[in-house]
Amino acid sequence: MRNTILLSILILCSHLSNAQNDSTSTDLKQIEIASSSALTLLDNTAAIITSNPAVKEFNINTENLSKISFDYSVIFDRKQLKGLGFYGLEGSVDKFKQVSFARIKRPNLSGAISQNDSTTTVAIGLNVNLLTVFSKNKKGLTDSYNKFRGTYEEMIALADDATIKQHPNLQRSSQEFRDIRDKILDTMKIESPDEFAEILRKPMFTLDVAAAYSLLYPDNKFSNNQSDRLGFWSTATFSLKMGKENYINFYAFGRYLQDDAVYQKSLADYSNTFNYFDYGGKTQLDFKKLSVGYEYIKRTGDGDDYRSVGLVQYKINDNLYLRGGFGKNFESESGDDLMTLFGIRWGFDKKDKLEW
Amino acid sequence: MATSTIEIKNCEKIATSFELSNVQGFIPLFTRVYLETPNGKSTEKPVAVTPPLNTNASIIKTSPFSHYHGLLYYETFLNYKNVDSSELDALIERLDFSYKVYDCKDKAIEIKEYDNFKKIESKKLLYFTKIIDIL
Repeated sequence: MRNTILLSILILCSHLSNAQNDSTSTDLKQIEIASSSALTLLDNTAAIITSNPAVKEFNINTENLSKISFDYSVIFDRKQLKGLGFYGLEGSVDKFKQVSFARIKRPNLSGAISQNDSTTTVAIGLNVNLLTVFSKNKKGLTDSYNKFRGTYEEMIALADDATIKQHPNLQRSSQEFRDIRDKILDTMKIESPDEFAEILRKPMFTLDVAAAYSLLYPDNKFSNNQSDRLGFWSTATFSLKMGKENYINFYAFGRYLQDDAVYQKSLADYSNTFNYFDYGGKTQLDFKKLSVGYEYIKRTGDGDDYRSVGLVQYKINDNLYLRGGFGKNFESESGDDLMTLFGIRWGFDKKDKLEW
Repeated sequence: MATSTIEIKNCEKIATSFELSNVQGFIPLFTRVYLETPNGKSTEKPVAVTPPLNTNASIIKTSPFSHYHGLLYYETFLNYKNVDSSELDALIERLDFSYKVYDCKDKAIEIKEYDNFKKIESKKLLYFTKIIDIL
């Protein structure tokens, strides 16, 4: 049964990928611990607190074969995505703003299936970045962009001049001209400036919101389907650079959760409704390939509980992340609260070649 | 990809513009357009360059200029430092190019394909070229 579910999800993802080959594909260069919103609703994932993850066309997450989720990045305005619009900046330097709301147009959709011997849960979720604050103000962004572009303009102009000087009769549009110019460019000692690219890649502050809904199938029977959980939450992320390529991130998290499928012993069914308000935080260190963090979430409302989990993620390559978590989770229906998870996050595009 | 050819009748002057969209993860730098005349000499100065304030590597529609039935040669430069190597080719394929040439009656001919692209890895620099032959 589990293998059938896994196979179905892979076929579904493959089908969606083919049908939606115009969708976005974004940067996963930066190591980060991310979870799909659908899986986060079910509480049983390495990291509940994550910022709006930069997903590829699809991410598939598996922490075991009975719990699989995927993310799909939606883009509504691809034809209008010009210049630095992808990062939330306008197409002109004089319109740069430190605070951007532009990524609201690019939500991530997700789905998850979680199964045990007696129940199956199917969840859908959506998360979106509401607000991004860059680490530089308008003047800083402008200066940094000008330096970035200016350095490249200078490099290319120098390489052009050197080529013309060596071969004054070559047409600029000829392949020969370009080959000579490109060799000069390639070996030039001028370092390309990194600051502007980093400002775009790692904003100082982001505010994300998410919502998710799940259905429960007791006894793993389709006809038994009933409403399970409905959740709304928000995550604020503050990032500080440490050293050349490392970051420390602080997260604040708040979530309302309505659980319509709490097990009632007297009736032996999932008919009780509990309401929770969860709040907490996380600290996470991002190194080049390794990310480690600790999250704590306090649960109030119908039930007093907490979650305290340490987590780690390692980037094997641009497509494949290993991640795991260990600690105390919220208590489950069966009374378990130990969390030991280890799995992969696999991001891919339609045209990706897999490199293992 | 092959060079494009367009026929301009009864017009000594043309104008041009360029737009790049569906830009995901790249940092656009600039586009420049050169006119190469039939005498075969490299032009020193471009007929148009992306204005310094613009961050979208676009060419705003130029003033009319004499074409001398030469070649328009476009180069568009992008930085790809923020793009994973594994997804670079897919993102390149998704870029939408719009090269436009306007005759003296302001009628636009649009070409949506570039000719070639090249990566200069040490500089994380990527550039696209397009030649439009004006008959």
